[in-house]
Amino acid sequence: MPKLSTLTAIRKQAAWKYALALIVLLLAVTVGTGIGSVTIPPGEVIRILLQMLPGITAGELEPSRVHIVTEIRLPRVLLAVFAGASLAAAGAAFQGLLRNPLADPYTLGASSGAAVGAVGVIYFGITLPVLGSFTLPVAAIAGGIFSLYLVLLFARVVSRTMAVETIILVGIVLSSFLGSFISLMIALSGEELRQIIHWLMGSVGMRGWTHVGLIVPFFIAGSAFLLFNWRELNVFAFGEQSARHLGIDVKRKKQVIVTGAAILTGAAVAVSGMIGFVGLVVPHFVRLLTGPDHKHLVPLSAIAGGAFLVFADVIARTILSPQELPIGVITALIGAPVFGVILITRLRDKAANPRKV
Amino acid sequence: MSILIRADRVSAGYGSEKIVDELSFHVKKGEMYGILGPNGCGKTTLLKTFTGSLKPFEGEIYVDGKSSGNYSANEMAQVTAVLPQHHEQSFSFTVKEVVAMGRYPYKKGLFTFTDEEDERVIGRVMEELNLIHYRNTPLNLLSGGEQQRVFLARALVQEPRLLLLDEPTNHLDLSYQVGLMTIIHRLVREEGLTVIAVLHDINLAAMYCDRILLLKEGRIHGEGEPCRMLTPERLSEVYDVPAATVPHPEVPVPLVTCRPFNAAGKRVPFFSFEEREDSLTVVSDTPLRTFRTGHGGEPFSWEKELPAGKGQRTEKQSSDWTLFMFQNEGILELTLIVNGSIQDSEAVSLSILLARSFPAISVYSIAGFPGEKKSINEDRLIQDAAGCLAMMKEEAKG
Repeated sequence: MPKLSTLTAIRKQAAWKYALALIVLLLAVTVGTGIGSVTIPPGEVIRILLQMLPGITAGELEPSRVHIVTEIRLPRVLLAVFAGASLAAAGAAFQGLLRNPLADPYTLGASSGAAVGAVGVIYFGITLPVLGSFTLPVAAIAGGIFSLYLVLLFARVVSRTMAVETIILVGIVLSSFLGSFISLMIALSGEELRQIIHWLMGSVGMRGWTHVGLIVPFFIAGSAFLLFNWRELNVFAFGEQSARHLGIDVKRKKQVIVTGAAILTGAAVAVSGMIGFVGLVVPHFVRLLTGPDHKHLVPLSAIAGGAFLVFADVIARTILSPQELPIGVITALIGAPVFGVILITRLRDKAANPRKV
Repeated sequence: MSILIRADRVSAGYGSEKIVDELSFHVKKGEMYGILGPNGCGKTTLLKTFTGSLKPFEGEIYVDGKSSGNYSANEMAQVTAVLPQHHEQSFSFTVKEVVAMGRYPYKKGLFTFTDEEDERVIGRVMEELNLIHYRNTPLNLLSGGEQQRVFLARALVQEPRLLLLDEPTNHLDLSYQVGLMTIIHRLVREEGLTVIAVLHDINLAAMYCDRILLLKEGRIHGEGEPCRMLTPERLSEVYDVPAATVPHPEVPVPLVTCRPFNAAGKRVPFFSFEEREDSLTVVSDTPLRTFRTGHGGEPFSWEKELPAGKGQRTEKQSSDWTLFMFQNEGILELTLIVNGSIQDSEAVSLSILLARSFPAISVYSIAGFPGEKKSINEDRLIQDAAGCLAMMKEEAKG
């Protein structure tokens, strides 16, 4: 039996972090649902949300406002929550697995791979028989997995030690390469053009409940893959050789983790397009606050990533209101400078202490 | 004692390149076994076959009687732990978190917290290695030597029966090298841990290992106790350098070093005698290996300026040596400068020979150069010494 005092100590500390993260997420959901062309005060938002739960009545509510919240804003906000959570959890996993603070679905080329899969489906108008509406996310996930393995393969050829900068460089090269396929399909497309462009720019607007339904099963599956492997992610921080010495079946665990992260990436890209840097910035800051232990890093990154993308979406649709910016613009404006800062700090560290890998 | 590891005609390598070739040997339980050899001789390759991370081309490795191929990665990690020389690091885990990772082979599932057994093992090992006060310190803030101790702790909480060391002391300073090896040695003696150590430092291996395996070009050159393996002849062959050994001053093992390449013959030692105040001093451009008796203090030393003696003196010179005899206030001193290298043991036996032949002489200095070895013709030396003594008596008369 676990000793009670140590257990409670661990749980207390962790519980505190989760409570804070969930409060921020709830705040984000409330704000995200309330703000827009028609501003709905938080109290009313909460009442409307509560009355959606079975068996709860929340007094008199204006039907048009209920409609705005439940049919327009809430699916949008939830989509942002799940997309953000997926990208951030995937980013945390990539960073742990590759011992690389610059890794994220976007910089590794996984997002581009997923986009090629998704754009291909839209362009060719494919719907696979069994999958139905799930054709799009499945194609995106397949594209993501394919491009990830390609990046890892090339990076290994270039440098056997899988140096941090090498992987990122290969990811960027592959991204550009895949980008040309997307451009080609756009150039050749006729009536699908608007749909593709709109989708590509990255947005969680005008998607509705069907898209929430598309991402949730993949989010659950992908997160489970990662959560079950938090120990392995921790051990990978000291290198694959070291992981093998501790009894990890390195090849298999790596495949499981890459697949889990690719499922999350592909699903997020399928429903919300190319949104960059969420997976880079969020785990980085969560790690600063809670330490690198993946037992907490992955779930906390997911919660924080959800909140982050909701806030980014709020900014995207209010800053130039009534015009809406693509959400990817906001995340890149925040993420790219952070990427730069991490890169510079790393290179400085390396120059000062060349032994460090 | 029973056998823990047995290698049976093991050949291994990378791709199609064979690096170790048909090695057979065994390691007993509770033994500290050293693997030595030059770079590229296959030490690390061999070690990798023990952990199962490299499959041998041919042959079998039996760990505790069971072929290493029949262990799962997890089972292997419960028997064998590895301490490499270098660790990749990326995120700043705390010392306690790093050590706790060593319990991985015993953990499964999503919500398994560290249980009481884990905490007990982790606490005991951290106590033993003096890491308790670092428990919440981020690993990257520790020095290299302390970090290596943390990784040793991580290996030990695996509760292994076999610990593999892959040049773990390479970049550590002397105190951490000795500290680390002393801890490991104690675990071997007191807790019956078995250790296989690939080491670069031959002297460290000599000091701590029970037996040593010498590898050259992927084959066994010899196996046995350090004092039998670490002979100048064997080491010269294995490492391709002229090796030299001297006994360790305190423990019964050899200390190994090498002679510089081509030092022999090429260097012409230059020395001169200078009259300083009333004594004669030998001044040399290279230090003289000196053996002295009768002056108090250490008998062996390296001297660039050797006070040969003072007072009345006679001398005999030949191509092999210069011999001085001094008489100062009734005390007879003999100083022999050999025109070449002379071994310590030879110097001692020469002084005994001279003392037997000339009981009147009470102080001896015998000095030589690093370089080509001179063999001393003892009869001629006695003749020369007798000559000097006779001249001295004659001068005293005259």
